[in-house]
Amino acid sequence: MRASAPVASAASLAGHVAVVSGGARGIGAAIALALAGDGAAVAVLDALDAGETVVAAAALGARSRGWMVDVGDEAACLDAAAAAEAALGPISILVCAAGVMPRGAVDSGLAQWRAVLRVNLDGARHLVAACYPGMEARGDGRILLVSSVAARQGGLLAGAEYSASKGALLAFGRHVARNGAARNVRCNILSPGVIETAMNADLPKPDPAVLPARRLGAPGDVAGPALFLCSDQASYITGVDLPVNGGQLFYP
Amino acid sequence: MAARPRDDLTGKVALVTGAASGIGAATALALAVRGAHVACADIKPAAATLEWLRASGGSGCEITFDLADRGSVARAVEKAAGEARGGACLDILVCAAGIGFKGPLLAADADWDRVVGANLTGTFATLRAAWPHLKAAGQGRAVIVTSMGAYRGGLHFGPEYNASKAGLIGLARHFALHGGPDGIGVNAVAPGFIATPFVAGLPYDADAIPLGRLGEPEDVAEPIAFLCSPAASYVTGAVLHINGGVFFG
Repeated sequence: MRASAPVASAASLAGHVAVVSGGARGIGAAIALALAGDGAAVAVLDALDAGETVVAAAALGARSRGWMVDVGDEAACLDAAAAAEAALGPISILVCAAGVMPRGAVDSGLAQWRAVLRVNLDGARHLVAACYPGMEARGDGRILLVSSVAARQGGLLAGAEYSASKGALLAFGRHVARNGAARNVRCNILSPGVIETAMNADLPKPDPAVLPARRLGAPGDVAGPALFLCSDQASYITGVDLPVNGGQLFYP
Repeated sequence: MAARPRDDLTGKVALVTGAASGIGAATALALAVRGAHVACADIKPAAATLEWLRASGGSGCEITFDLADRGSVARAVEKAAGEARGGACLDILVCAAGIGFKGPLLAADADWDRVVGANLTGTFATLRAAWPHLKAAGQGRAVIVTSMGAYRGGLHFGPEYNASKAGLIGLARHFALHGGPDGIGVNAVAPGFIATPFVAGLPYDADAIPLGRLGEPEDVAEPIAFLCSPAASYVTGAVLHINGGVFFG
């Protein structure tokens, strides 16, 4: 038995630079602040003004900058990643939490299909395209894609395009995981259940009594698991989909 | 070393079975350095684990028990719960004890009964005995160590091993479903090829693992510590695959 200290509790993300999309509010903001609290410098990308998150991250002692970015725009993602690297340093952590969830149906029309895929799926693709080469070259990358329980269960209020975009993130993430492993680029997926955020404030929610946890989730419930997957604590974990859903759906 | 606030387990009482070596020993240490008082249970002496965690500033006790003996399991759980203030509370249960050996595909009845009796029935007995104490804890957390072999079959152990490990997944989910209302989270971890005494001498090929190496006990212990922490309070009924990218789940 080794007498050396384990990876253990004080392992931190000091020295790491993280890009978090969708970081202005909700789940993305909670993850950005968890990373900042653990010592990472954080670049916050969002279609909305991310000032609040940047200020909160700075209050935690982290270097942080915000960029207003439409993640569906490839050039904008490449520019933002380059600006983040110039301002904060080489990116070793990427969290793709940007997403939209309009109400819909099995067929919500082609325009809505494309609009949702453009942000939820293309957005993740553009940011991985921007960040992956540097991670691969440096031999250290931690990518986290925020999917949804809807990827496996379907949805009832959001349209099929939402479930399809989140399901595609599972396959995309596994492809990145499989190819990145040899260069120590890990890629995992995190699938929240029903988390109360501004994005779904207008949508009806399930009765918490149907969930084993007997409560809906809060953004903070997702932040801890996200931080874990981006940390050295998860250094032997890649390609997994971690459910954070209060027991709503058991898998894998 | 100060734990992150969300990882802090100060004041918690934990029982780790199979704590004498390997994943169980590393888990006992990972919980102890976060502040938990760890009861280290094993059929073998766990003194080395105790020494290790005390040297790291942790506290704990040693319990000798036999996973295959339900009475022994129940006594071990009561002894662990007795370590808590008030005497009947267990915040954390990690079921890492298990047996396995290379056997024929068409396993003999005695081998089947022995392995399933320890790994599956013994773990059920552990969870059953601990359940009232996990309830009493208010936010109890249980983690069951299963195996990648539950999903993929395996080359190095007999069918009784992988069947017992697959059974543990159903066990974890049943207790997750029913533990939620009492605030209890139940999860499983499914390790791949981890370099422990349990698999010493078996031919594992690191080059066949995408991340390029066998796992270390700490690679499993740290995720278990996460699942035992408040950071994972909305995670229940999950199986966390820890295998270096061999299998994604």
